[in-house]
Amino acid sequence: MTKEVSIEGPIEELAFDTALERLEVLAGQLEDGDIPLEESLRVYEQAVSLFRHCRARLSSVEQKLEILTRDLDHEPVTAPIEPSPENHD
Amino acid sequence: MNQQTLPLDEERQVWTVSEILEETRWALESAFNGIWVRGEVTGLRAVRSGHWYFGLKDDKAVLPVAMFRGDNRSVPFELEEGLEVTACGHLTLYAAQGRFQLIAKTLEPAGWGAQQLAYEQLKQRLADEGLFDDDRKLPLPLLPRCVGVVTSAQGAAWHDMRRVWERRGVALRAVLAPARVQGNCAAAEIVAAIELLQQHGAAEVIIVGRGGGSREDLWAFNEEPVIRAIAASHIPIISAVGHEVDFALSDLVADRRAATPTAAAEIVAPSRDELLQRVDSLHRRVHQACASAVSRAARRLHEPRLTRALSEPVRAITAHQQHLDLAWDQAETAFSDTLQRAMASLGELGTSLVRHEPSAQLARSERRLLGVRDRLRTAFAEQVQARRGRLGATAARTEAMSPLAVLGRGYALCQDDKGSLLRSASETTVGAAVRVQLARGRLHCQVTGTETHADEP
Repeated sequence: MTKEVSIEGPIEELAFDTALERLEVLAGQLEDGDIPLEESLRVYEQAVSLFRHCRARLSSVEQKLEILTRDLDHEPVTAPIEPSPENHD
Repeated sequence: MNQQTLPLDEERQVWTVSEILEETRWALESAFNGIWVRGEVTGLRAVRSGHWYFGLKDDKAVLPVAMFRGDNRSVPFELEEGLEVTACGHLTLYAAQGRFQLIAKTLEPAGWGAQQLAYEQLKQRLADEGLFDDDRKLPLPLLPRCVGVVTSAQGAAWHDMRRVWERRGVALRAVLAPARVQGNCAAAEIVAAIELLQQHGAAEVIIVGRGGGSREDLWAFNEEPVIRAIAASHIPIISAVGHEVDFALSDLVADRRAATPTAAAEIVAPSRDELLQRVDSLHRRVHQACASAVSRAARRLHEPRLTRALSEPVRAITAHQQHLDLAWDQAETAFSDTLQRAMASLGELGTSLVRHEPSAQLARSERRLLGVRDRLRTAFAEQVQARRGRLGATAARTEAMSPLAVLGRGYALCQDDKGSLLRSASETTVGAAVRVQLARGRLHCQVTGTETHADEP
């Protein structure tokens, strides 16, 4: 049985492990060779866009620190935390 | 004798049993309400009705205690013989037995032994409820975009985690929901912070923890409200309390246990090289699989069964070819119509051009005419020559067969007087006149004798 990994919504919002898992499944499908050639092409295209997504996630380095509290209306609100100046130890 | 020294009945204040007990009860309850008594549990009896009866003793005395079902239900641990507890309640008298006792409303474990016991018992109860079961555990995201953190904003844990993330350099948004992690308020603040992160909703994983400390420092991570808040979280939680193995109940209930906050920070920010390797190796697998799928397909093309099947398309192509031919014909017809129309208009144009430039046109035409005439002449002459040659040869052949030519070779023709050719001597008689035709001229002769060859018929 092929494990189905749903990929609803745009690929950019896909969780990294979901994308990776999906890639595993697609690779398995292609390796089994049970699917018609035309379908392989479709699978391949999907694999390539997942691959690009994963690479993009790994190439990003932006880090953001925030502090979460409640505002006067008791709603969650975040404020940025400045990066630590230097480590003293 | 004694009776006389004693006052008379009328002078004495005589209480009934009920009266004096009632009076004492009232006095006790008013004087000793909301008092705390600490002692060791002894003679514990839990009766069918659900009430508890036991004594609290120290090295000199014993105080009878009753704790009714409605109150003992909220005791967070199980009472045991010898356990040191602090009870809160009021003193009273149980009139039916004339028994002096403490009615306990709340009960707390006193001293480390009791706290340890409370811990063990809570652990057992939560385990029985299934809160530590593996099938409750949520999977952790591999590379979360946003991490929630519940710890003290000033503590070492937060500092350590930030250092890990700076070092690893992966993209990450960390949202700190600050909470005190020791002291009386710690449990409540930790619970509130976990709930705040649920409400905020951005975090894909939450780290709850603090750096190492004494057992007492870490106690908040053993408190039931914290355990239940972790269990109720929809977001996977990593428990990161720096301490010896399996002490904090938060470790057991969390979806993942990390030995230290640093370890937890490493879990949510995995090494990029490792992930790149995984992604790239998948990419290679996909490529290879595709390449072999294509070559498999190519091999199948050459199977005899398929080759036969492929001749079907050839037939189909032939049919299409016919359609194409037909279409071509139609197109050509249409084209030639168009062409003719174009030629016609070209002709008209030519005429008008000739009108404008007649002499040149005439000269061209004349030259063309002369050319054609010369070519016709040449062709005609050649034809005539060829035919002449053929005629001469035929005439020579015909002449060779002519009788005149035979006579030319010395033969003669002999005819009777009626002109019939004589082929046998018996066809004439002596004295008859015959004519002999020579190649040139004729002889008139009379037959003087006849001979018949023996071999003639």
